[in-house]
Amino acid sequence: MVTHWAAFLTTGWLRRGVAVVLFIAVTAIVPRWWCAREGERWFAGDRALSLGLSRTVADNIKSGVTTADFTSNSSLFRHEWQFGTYQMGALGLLQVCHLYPERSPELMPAVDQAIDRLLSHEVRDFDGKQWGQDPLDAIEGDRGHTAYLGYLNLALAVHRRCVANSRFANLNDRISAALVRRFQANPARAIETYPGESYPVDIAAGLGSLLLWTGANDEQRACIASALEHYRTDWRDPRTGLLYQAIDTRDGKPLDAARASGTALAAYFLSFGGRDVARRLYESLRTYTAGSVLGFGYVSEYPSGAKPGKGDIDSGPLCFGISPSASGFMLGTARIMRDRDTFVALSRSLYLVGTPARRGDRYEYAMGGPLGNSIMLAMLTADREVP
Amino acid sequence: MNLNRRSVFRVVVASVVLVFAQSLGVVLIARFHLMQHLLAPGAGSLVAVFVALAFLLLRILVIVLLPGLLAASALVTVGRTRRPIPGS
Repeated sequence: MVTHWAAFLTTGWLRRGVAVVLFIAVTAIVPRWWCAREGERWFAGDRALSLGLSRTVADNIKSGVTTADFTSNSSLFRHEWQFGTYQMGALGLLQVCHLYPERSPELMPAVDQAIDRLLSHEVRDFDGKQWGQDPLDAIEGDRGHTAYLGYLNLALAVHRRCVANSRFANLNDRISAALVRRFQANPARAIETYPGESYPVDIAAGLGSLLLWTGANDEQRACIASALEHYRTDWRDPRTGLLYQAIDTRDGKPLDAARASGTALAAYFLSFGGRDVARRLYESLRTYTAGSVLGFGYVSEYPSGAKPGKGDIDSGPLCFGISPSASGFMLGTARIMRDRDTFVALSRSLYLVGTPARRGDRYEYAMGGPLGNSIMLAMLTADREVP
Repeated sequence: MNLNRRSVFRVVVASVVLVFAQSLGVVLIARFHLMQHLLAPGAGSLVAVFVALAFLLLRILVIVLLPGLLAASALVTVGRTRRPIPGS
């Protein structure tokens, strides 16, 4: 038998043919297995990985993140990313504290520091400049500052769930009431991020915080439910179910295409208390935007069958239509929905392109920078059990 | 036989060099925060984007293509080794 195979392999063209087949087989199997190892561990809630990335994010927060840490030319985006680094970092660390309460003494100081930084003049000024009014001074009004107040309030609401007697409880109540007031003042519920600009994903951050708020009265609860209803109906593309990226402030009509990056992040935000809506959005993402090559998962920014667009700062640079932002955000919802296959497929791509690196007991993604690592911590530790 | 040994040696050395370069690249790329320029390139990002793209191609070569190339070249080499000597 061995002699037979040896004779077979000594035939030149046959040997080359078998070599090509072997190359294809090994390429289809080995990278798929190798790059899935950490994804399987993340899906199982691996303690060493979670704490390793948490320590990196906590270090970033403690050392302070400035706009100089970001590479965009736009001052507004650099400030938004500084804000996002603290907000996502706080959410991710709170999720890890919820999973491993015994690590709270180590991680909670960084959470408090992140929220204090979110509340600082330096970090909130980007919103104030757009509105011509400081967002915390404008709490008692009934218009605007949705993104700042909404994203901040989600961190405060989760903090309140994790920490008994949270020192942010009073502020959480005030911002929650302010957000409801804004929803009540806008019949389309399309409350504004910046003057005249409404984005369902930003509204979802605020709505996610309100779904965790236990202090609402009946009237406020009805208003929150009616805002959530838009994520089941008219803010979604009727064909794909993806969320429109931007809507008209006055009537909630779409101003941009239905896209994956906004839908994936909104699904994560709404999973805090709106699991049914989050699942619907997730199913749309999985059906119309998710795919894989050799087991490496990806999410396209524009759904299959739609006219492809160029993407923007929300999607990240598109390569063959693949959105780095949407692919990263979908990891979080895939984990919440216990969709192991999709999670592991996306995590293979994260391993390959995100480039994980270890330094002692720290773990980070080299591609991510401060914002990327905060986002990945929040997504990779997102859990069905809401803190 | 010497030729076969030499070609096997060349393949192994090239693979080790590529794997080492990739591992060293991970450390340097993480240390100097070069890859985040790929996600949000700015005015001064040209060199960083070029370096990060080159590193990413190297990483894809090492992780995705190298195992198959190694297996295929090993098969070819084994086949050559087993070729009967003419006249024996």
